[in-house]
Amino acid sequence: MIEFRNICKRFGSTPANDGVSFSIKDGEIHAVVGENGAGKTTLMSILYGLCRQDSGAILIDGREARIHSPRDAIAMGIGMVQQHFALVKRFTVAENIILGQEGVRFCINRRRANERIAGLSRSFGLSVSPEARIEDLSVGEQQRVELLKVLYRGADMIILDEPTAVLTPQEIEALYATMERMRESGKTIIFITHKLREVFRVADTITVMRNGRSVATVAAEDLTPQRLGELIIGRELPASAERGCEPGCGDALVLENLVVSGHRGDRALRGLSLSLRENEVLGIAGVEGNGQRELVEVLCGLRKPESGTVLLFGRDVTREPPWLLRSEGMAHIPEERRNGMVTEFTVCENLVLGYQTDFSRAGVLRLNSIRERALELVKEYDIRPEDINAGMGDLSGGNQQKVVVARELMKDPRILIANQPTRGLDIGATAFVHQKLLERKRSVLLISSDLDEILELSDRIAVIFEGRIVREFRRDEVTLEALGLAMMGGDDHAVE
Amino acid sequence: MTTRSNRKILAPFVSLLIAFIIGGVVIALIGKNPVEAYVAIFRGAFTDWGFTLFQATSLIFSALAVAIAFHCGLFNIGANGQLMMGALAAAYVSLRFAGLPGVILLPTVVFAAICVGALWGFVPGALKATRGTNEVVVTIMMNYIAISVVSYALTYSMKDPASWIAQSAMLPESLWLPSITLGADPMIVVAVIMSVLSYVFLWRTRMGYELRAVGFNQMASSYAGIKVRRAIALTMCISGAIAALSYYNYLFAYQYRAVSDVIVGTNVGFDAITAALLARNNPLLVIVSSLFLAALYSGGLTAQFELGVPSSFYLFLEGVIIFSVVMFSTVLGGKDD
Amino acid sequence: MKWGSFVLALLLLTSLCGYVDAQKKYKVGLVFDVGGRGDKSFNDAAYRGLEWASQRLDVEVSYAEPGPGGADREILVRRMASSGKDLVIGVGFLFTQPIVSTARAYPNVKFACVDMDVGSAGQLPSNVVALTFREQEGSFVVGAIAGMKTRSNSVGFVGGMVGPLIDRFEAGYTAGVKYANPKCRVMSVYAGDSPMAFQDPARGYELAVQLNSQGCDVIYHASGNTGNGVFKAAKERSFYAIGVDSNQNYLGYDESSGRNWALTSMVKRVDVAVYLVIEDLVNGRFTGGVREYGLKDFVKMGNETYRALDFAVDDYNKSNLDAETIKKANGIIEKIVGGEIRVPRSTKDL
Repeated sequence: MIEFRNICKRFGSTPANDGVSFSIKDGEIHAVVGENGAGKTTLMSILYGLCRQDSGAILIDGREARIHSPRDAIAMGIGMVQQHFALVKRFTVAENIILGQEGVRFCINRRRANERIAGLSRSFGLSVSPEARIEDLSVGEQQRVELLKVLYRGADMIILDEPTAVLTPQEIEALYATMERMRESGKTIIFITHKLREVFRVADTITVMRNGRSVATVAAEDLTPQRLGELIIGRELPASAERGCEPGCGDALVLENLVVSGHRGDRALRGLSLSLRENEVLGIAGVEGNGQRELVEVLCGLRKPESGTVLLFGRDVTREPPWLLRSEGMAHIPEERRNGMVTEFTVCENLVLGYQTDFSRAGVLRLNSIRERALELVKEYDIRPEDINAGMGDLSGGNQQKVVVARELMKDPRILIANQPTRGLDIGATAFVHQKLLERKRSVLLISSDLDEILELSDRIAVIFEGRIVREFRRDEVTLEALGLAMMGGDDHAVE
Repeated sequence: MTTRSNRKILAPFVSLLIAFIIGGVVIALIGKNPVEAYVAIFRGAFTDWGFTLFQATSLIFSALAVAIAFHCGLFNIGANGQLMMGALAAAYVSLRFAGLPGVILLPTVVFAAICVGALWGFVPGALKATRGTNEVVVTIMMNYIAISVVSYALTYSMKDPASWIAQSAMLPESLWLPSITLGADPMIVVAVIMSVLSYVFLWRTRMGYELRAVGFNQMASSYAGIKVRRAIALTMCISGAIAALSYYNYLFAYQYRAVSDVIVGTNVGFDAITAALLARNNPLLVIVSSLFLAALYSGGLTAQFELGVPSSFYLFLEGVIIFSVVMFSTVLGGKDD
Repeated sequence: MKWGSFVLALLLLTSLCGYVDAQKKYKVGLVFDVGGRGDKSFNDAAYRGLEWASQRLDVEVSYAEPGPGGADREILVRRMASSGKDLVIGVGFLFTQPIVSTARAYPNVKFACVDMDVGSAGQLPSNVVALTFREQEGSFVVGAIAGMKTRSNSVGFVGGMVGPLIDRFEAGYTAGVKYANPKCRVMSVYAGDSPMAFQDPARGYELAVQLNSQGCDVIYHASGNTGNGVFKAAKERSFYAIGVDSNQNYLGYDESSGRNWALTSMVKRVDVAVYLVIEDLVNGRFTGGVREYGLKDFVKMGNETYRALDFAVDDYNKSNLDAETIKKANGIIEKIVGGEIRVPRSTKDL
């Protein structure tokens, strides 16, 4: 049993953990949930010895554990799979797993190591070839290597930090299965996440963290998603986004046979066709790197297609510059936040970026109306600090994202390209943005790596794979399984 | 946050102090009394305030040019060439149309200078925008071209036939500016107005806003639909146009003729970089930093013949100032992000 | 109290006496041209003149140099004038304009400008003296040396910019050659008709090669930097070159053969001019206008006599000039000073 007693940790003047106390029973899957910045990762870093608490104690099986480094943690049977993998790309799976453990002995007994790895793979359902090189593996497979590494070291308390963020639906299911097998073999799993759906799928016990404190530790079956959401944000959950009337039937955006070369000179889009109807939300699902980025750049006028056409409300806008598309009523929430804002500008200045012409008369900025509008938006979107003259760089990521979203929606665009629109936003803000996207005032092309988001918002879902739309689903016909299959390019690739 | 911005304001002063201390040590090492030297510099700068203002006027125009380009992320090392071409154009047009009444001649001359300066900025700007050429390299090249053009024009086509010096004839008297004492002419007022206009331009106009956005984040600017290339080319044009007025006071309030050696040998466009750096590219602070550097230069002349402090001391001090400003703005101000 | 004021009055009186008693010490300020001391040319020479004056004439001297470009020439001249100098000297023709305008503002201060561009100065104020040289006299002497030295009986002249200034050199040189060697012919060419003609060594080289291929075995140049090309040609094609203004003998040294192809240099001594104008000031003989220094003007410092114009003899060229030639040349100088020889001012007077 692991017990946290009043853990406090500050970074500079901001407390990351502010008196965290709860305990984790042996042999359970224990989810630690909370919004970004709630202190989950800090707490786990303390447990794994990556940093030390300012005060408070960790008790393992009733004795105070002094964990000064990951070495200490490993010695006590604690293992951690971090969000960013620590694997040597050019080494094989086996080499990575035994790295740092065989060092004490003079030579490596490769055969015995391989046998042990194979045994672990089998018993936990972690299929991966010991002789494969890391650089040839998918992200999901790399995660399995990390898990194997932890298991190989004999850990029986395993921390998983946001393990599903990088996985496809099939891989997520496989991970759940692995977690359950580990529980059966008596291991304790601490599972950090901010996705509610996952929590109820696998967790036995849930600890909610908010603002650096542990708010509640409850058995999963005693909670409803509604109640959990409220615990996480600390107030009543906003009503889930209301779906208005049906989308119109006119075409807002039609893409025909787009061929575009990508950043590395290869073909990124290979004859992509797509149509977005008026006031429709069309989700683009797909594993990252299948042409989403180039698609967005073409739509925003930042990349010229080699062939194909882009029709915006019936007008051919292929190869038109960004400012013209903008004046035609297109708005864009970029994937990379730094492309949507100027860090050195104030919040106020960022709130008119791209709309400076609308806020000037005879070439002179109308500072008063800019300020007025900025004050409105800061209030409406709950941007903090509530200071329009604050430097954009001083805002948290979530608040920066709110500024970008607020600005892009400010002028009521007829069409919005939303690329990861809620990345970094808390639950409340996410719900707010979702509501905005579903207003039915505009057509939305939604690109997101968060399938939940796509499923929740989209009227239709188009799956992009290797530069083409390979399948389209209507909202009422889509299943996670079918979606996952399509994202992998069809039945052949889906199951390994 | 407040402490950081306080430090940012403090940084130039601390670095100046340090530069002066280092300068004092060097003066002591060459066997002069540093206190006397600084007193002489101070006295020289204030007793001959006319020249201090004169030098500051030239510096302000060029420093504004450098600062505005900086705001768009461009390093305009070509202010020197732009001011040379501006001076040449002003001298040429004023001599060519000397017969026109002053009311018409004055705007014509100023317009010509601005146009030629803008052209001298446009070339590197356009090359940067369309070909991605490094503006530092191109502006340096343009400086050399300007030197050749000016010395050619003043030794051949525009040379005063009565003289064997490479210089123009006396410029038309209708354009001569009144002055209280030598150097204290109305151009200082124009320079101050230009600083205020530059400030307004950068922070109150759409174009200034776009230019700054491009300077900070080109990617975000193009995402926002700002015409990045146009902004770059235009900024260099504006920069060149302002720099072109730097030697107007030299021509029409001081020597009343264009002397090839003097125009070609000028260093104002480079001193301007120091002035812009000290002012952190703020057009209003450029007035202060230019006055400061001008006072140092002007006072240095007096310290030279009164105490024998070498003329290169000014250049040395300027170098130390640049060095310590760069050092301390990173140490004290932290990274600018 | 009473005593106090008495002491005070006494102090005042003595200090006043001291002031009156002190011999009036003249103050001289000198402004170099851009580059200042260390140019091995006019600036260094001017400084030497200033040093002589401070040693021998008991004047208080100070000096300064303008910044890059020299837009501050006039400022320096003005500050010198306003800081109580009796005489302010500017080194180089670029001080023409600054000195003329400052002189009008400070009529009680005297001004001198080395190599003044009298043509562009307009009416000279009475407190300004333009320090110029009778280059034709020096050119006459080196011309005579060339006439004595030539084996081919033809010598050359390379001028810078066509005009009255360089014409004086050509006239003096030609007359000097004919005086020493009436059979010798003189071929004269010019590099151009603009000030750029003083900055073109490639052109100087070209012209010298042409002259040499037509038989000239001694070439005198009066063409500034263009003359460096003349020296280059002389080393390559083994003929004698004569330098101008400063002692340029070292330019003729050919490292590969160890020979020196500089016959001599026509030296224009700015130090002598600077010293003499200060001497005029101290002796109360200062007058405005154009002052021309010639062979008759000299300064004696120790055993050395420095003429305002001279031909240079040093380690570089002593093997090229035998004692006989030097004696003859000095004899010619005496005759010019004595008025026996009249040197033409222009080629029209030849």
